[in-house]
Amino acid sequence: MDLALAFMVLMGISVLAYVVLDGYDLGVGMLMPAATDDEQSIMVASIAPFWDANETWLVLGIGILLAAFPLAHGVVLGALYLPVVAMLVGLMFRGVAFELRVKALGWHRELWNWLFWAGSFLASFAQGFMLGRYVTGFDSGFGYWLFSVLVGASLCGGYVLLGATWLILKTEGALQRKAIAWARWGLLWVALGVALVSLATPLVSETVRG
Amino acid sequence: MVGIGILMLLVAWTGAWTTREQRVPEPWLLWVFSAFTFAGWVATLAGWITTEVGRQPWLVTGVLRTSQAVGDISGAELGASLTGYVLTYAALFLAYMVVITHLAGEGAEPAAAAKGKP
Repeated sequence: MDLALAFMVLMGISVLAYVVLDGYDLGVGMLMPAATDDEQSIMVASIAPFWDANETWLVLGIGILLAAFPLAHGVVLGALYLPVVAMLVGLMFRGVAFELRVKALGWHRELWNWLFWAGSFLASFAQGFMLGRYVTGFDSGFGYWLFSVLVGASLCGGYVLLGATWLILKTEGALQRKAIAWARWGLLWVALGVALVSLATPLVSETVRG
Repeated sequence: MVGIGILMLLVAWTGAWTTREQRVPEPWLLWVFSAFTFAGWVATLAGWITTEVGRQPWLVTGVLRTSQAVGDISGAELGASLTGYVLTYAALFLAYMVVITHLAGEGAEPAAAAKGKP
């Protein structure tokens, strides 16, 4: 088999694994403000053993991009420089919040919970935004930016749905019932996002239109 | 980096020697230990700077020059990202200091009490 094709398939697998696996723990992070204090601790505990491994798929995907397609790596990551930085800052705060929110008390705990939510949201949104920029071929113009924001918001919906279904799987009682309600909202959010992005994509992408 | 590493080893073995059989080290030695709080961090930074400066003007020695590998990212973008990283690290460093100050303030349980002995 063609080596380039093989690496493309590997990269596709990495990205798919990343979106599904890190998607659910980012989603759980975004659901934090909707839960009570005790529930928040359960939610974080449910993803604590997994989140670090899940993020490794991102490193593998970018690593393959650099090793197998260095020119594309330069062009794509150069054009997406600021959203990548935003994603990394989000992931940094989120990663530290995992460790420090357990030790913090009072308003410190509140602050780390908020940073955990904000970091999850920023990373998720930046990823969707990057996808939007990529689909539009990094064109500038208000419509293209709006499209990228739309994709970012839709991806957040997708991650919230994944996070809610993870919580349905991992929890019981009141929190599980809440998670079912969250999943319903997430599903609606995703459906709306898929519809809007599908309608808008032919307008902003020449390859899809042609 | 290597110098600090050797000093860290010396301090660590001195610590192991002076605390043998429940002995308590001299106060000035305790101050030496606390002065080494950030030694590992300083050593890491020093090693990193040595690597980055030492390899110039090459990115891959003899193969690729740094000037050949520079991306076309604008100065404004680099400035924005650098500011973002500096603020992030400053905030995280502050949080780290608050946590270790808090943990140090709680103090350590005496070894005998921790084992449940009178």
